[in-house]
Amino acid sequence: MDAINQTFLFYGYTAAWIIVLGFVLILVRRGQRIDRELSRLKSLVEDKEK
Amino acid sequence: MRDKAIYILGILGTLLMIWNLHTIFVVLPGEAAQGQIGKMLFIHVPAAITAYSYYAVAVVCSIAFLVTKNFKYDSVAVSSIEVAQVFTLVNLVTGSLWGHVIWGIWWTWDLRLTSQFMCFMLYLGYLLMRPAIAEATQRATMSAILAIFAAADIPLVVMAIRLHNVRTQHPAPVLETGGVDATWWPPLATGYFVLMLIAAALVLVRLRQETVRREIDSLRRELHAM
Amino acid sequence: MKQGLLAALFIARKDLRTEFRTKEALNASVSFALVVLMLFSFAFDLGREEFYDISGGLLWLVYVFAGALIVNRSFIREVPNDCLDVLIASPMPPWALFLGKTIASFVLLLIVELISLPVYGLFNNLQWVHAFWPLFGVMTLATWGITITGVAFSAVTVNVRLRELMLPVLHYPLLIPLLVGAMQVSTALIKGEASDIMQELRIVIAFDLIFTSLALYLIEFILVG
Repeated sequence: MDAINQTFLFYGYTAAWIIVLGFVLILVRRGQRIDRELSRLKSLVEDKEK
Repeated sequence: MRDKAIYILGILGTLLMIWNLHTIFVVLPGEAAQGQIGKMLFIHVPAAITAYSYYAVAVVCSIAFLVTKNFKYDSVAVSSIEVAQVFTLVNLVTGSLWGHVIWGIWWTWDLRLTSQFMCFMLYLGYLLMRPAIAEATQRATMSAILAIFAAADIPLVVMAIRLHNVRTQHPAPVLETGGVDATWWPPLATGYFVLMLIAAALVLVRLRQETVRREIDSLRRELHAM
Repeated sequence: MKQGLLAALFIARKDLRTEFRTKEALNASVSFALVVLMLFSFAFDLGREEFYDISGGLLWLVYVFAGALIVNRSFIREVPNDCLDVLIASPMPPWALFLGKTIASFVLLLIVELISLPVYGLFNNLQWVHAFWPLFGVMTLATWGITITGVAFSAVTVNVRLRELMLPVLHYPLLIPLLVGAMQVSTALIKGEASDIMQELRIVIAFDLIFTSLALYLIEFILVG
């Protein structure tokens, strides 16, 4: 009983950190995407102003 | 400044967490009736309270947005809800794993599980609707309305299910009964503090993205005007 | 206040009249309810006694599905020709417009419910006539809750892409407490065990009161911004 207890406790904490880590990864990817979009738009605006 | 705050919060949270995990796994013995699996409590309960704390922040900011029409509040609201969703998911998954061992089933429709799941679904609708509204003011207003409706619904959900299902299999909530050993309180409180720090860091990251997005929107308008 | 109420009734009359001329939403909603009722008979193979235990639950599933079709149309029907902008610009207060639209949807959904209730009883050999009036009371209360939140969300989603998809995603989770209450009360009434339904009924009433006041207060932000 105690062995399976340990196993599922491990699963629980692992799952928790995978979920948070997954969210961080999503955040990072989205951040990169919108940063790229921002610099693209900025250069477009500069081009037009010239 | 904000980047620095994110790093400090993240590092502080991680260090505290390692210390807390040491207390939980090495120092403390297993729970008397449940053995080691009882220690799921240290992530399960703090995650739930962290989620609720940020849902509360979100509803306050939503009201503030409707009153002031300041987009900062809208950004805080959506960031908080997104992060709170993550911790609700942590709460649900850890609870399910615990239930599999102690109850022998992954899920049951008892009061707390159902209301937590409802909460998740309500705010999922919020997050799904946002990208579907193109105009910024409208998006912020409708989101704020939705957040207020969701917050008003949660007490009713709890009331309705309490009547529907009086016998709950869920252990008595720690906060209402205080029924844990005195040695369990410090790691529990630290767990909550740690998750709040990490959640704050995540909210700040998300907040920065909202700012960039607004900048992109205004640049797009500028381009359009040219 | 009185003027606003009059305007609300006016809007309700206008909406009902347009609906009764074409009967678009009404026909679609009734036939949809009938199809769902028929599907239930394939989905469950239960004895008569067992069916009574879930009778209220199934009844409200039909009603809430049919309701989605009706509230969906409420504000969207004003979008072509910019009718909505005109209505908002008119001197009537936004809450009156909203209240009128809710009353119209409420009447329509109640009609759908009154049509499908006998069919439901007939298909499943259910004795419901003895409990008609209390059942009608519950239907009135819960239908009001469904329509006031549904029409509010219909207004929220007017400018949303894929609004027909979005509305149920937003609306159904919100309705859970109301439906839990209404289902319990209806089952108890149909089974004739209506001794302690007051507590469940209280939730339905609380839902109505909270969301009616909240929606009437917030509608100005939704429509005007």
